[in-house]
Parts: sequence; structure tokens; C-alpha cells
Amino acid sequence: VAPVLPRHHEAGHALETEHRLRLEAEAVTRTLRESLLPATLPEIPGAQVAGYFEPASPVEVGGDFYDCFAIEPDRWLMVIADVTGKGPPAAAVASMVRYAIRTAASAGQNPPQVAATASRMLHLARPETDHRFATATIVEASAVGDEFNLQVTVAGHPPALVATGRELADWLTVPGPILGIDSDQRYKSRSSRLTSDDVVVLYTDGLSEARTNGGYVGIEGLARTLLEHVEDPAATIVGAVAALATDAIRTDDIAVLVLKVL
Amino acid sequence: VSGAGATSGGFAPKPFEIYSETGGTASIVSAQGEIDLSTAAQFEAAIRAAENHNEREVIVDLCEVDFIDSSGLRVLILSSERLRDRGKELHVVCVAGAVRRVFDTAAINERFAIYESRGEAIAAVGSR
Repeated sequence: VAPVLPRHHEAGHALETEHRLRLEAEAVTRTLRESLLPATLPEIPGAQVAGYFEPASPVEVGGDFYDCFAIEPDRWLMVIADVTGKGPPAAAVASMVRYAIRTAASAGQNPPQVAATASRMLHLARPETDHRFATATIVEASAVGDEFNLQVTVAGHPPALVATGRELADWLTVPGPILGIDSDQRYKSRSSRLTSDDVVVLYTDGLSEARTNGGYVGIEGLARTLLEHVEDPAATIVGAVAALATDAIRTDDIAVLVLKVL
Repeated sequence: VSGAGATSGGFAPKPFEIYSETGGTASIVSAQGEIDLSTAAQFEAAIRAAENHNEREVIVDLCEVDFIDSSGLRVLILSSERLRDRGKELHVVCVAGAVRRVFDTAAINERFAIYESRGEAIAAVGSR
């Protein structure tokens, strides 16, 4: 009879330890995830900005992130990126890419130079990162009166959407290689002007490639949802676009960043 | 039964499959379905196995691939680098549809020898 009580005690103790370890692991995951996203988005006079991130599963971290910060009082950088793979190793590389971009932009580099710097950093780190690459879209938005000038550089990332009025105006894209492959990658940029009510949506392929019963969400699905909500505030647009994937079958992270001119 | 995983009105992609064979002087790896994070390791293992056939060129056939993500591109890029170190090239067949869009967006077309059909690739490899 004697062994029964201690055994129960041990089981209870093991469960407690397991519970504590799980809480600790969740705290680490949360910290890692938070380190990849801006705590607050900047106030942009005359515009609204909203972001959304959801990992592939609630207990995971991944390689997707968005970022938005002021470079100068009238100039902001918007970034969306996707590092190959998932889990803490991908998140660690995502953090490197995020700060390489922030550092380069803070030092006065324009989007093509920022992309080249991030690419070189990632290339140099290949042995440590298990040769992970990243795709990114880097957008510099400058206020010009009531309007915004965009300078866009793309590093192998799916095209951003732009809606003007109630119409899909553009896919913001310009060919540029995935970050980190070669030591000396060059990037181009293209310019675009946003006026009142125009909306830009940056996203990662976890969203466009999510599968629903009707097929892939696709960039067409994204465009349709954007047009349905184009008159809503940026936060509503982000929510509506992200909702396309929340019921879908997906194995990847989702990141979305929306800028709307008021 | 009309295809594995098909449900009425539902949408199920082709399951991921990978085949390896030899054609002429080349080892051929053909994939089917989606090459993404969950299947990239299998894809990579098949290409590495093909590389290890001595003196053979490697052809990767993507004709039945519906989608490739950045983890799939990573496998292709790293494989082409390994082959280049040995004086060879990665030959890729059928960069079309969604795969073409991903290649174009990534601006990586010039890293590979790309062919319309498997026959074209085998003929090109044979004449090297």
C-alpha cells in the first residue's frame, strides 16, 4: 500500500514542472515574437497605418514581420518581410534583418541601398543562419502637402496592392533578388504618388497562399477584399484582409501592413 | 474516386510527391504538388541524392508543381551553388504559372538553366 501515495505525489509534481516549463516556453516565444514587431506604430499626420501578425500556430514564432517607423518628421519607412523557415531560428534571422533595415534607413540610405545593406548582412551571416534568405518590400513614404510620395524597393517579395478610389490601381512591384544570396546584390526602386483615400497593402505569402474551400486566397482574393473595404479605416482593412486566412488551412505565418491616406 | 483528398465542392491541392529517375546522362528529379516549408526537406534530399550520382547532370522537373515558396527556392538556390562548385549547372524544367510568378518576383531566373520541356533539357544536357 505504501508506494501509492508517493507515486501520486510524484505525478503531481511532474505535472507542476511540466506546467511551469510550458509557461516559461510561452514567455520566451512571446518575447521573441514581440521583438519582431513594433510596440506601437508611428502617428503619421494625414494617414492611418495598421499592422497584423499571426504565427503559423499560437505556440510558434516565425520568420514574417512588418515594421513601420519615422526616419524624419515627414518621412517613414514601411517594411514587410519573410525569412525562410519558421521557429526560433527563423525568428532570430528575422530580427537581424529587421535591425539591419532600421540601421541602414536611420543612416540615411534610400530603399535600394537599404535592401542592398540588408542583403549583404544576410549574405555574410550565411554560415550562422543556415543559409536562410529573406524576401522583403521596403517602402519609404514622404509627406508632400496632403499627399505622399512612395519609393518602393522589392527583394523577391509578392507585389503590394494599391487601391485608389474604389479601384485597384496598381501592383507595387519592381524586380529585385531575394535578400542574402550573393555578396553584392543591386536593387532598384519605383516611385508612386498617393492622394486622399488611397490605400497600400503589404502582405506575406502566408496570406495569399492560404487555402480556403474555394481555392487559394490569391492576390485576386486580396484585391477583392481590399476593394470591398477600401472606404473603411486602415485597422478595419487590415482585419478584413487577415480574416481571409484565419479560417483557411495554412502552415505559414501571416503579416499585413496597411497605409491609408486620409 | 476522382483524385486523392478530393471532397465535394472542396479544394484540395495535389498531394506532394517526388520521383527520381535517369534520362540520358542526367539524373531527373520531378516534384508534384506544393514545395513549401513542409515538403522542402524531401525535395532537398531528392536533389542531393541526384547530385551524388557521379558525372551526372541534374534536371529538376517542376511541370506538376502548383506552388513553390521561399523554402523551395532556397533548396534550388543552394543546389545550384553546390553544382556550380563542381562545374555543373542546375537544369530546371517547366517554370510556368504560379512557379513562374515566384521566380520572376524573386528575380532568380538567371541562376538556372531553364527549359520548356523535359525533352529539351535532356537534349541540352546530352550535348554538353
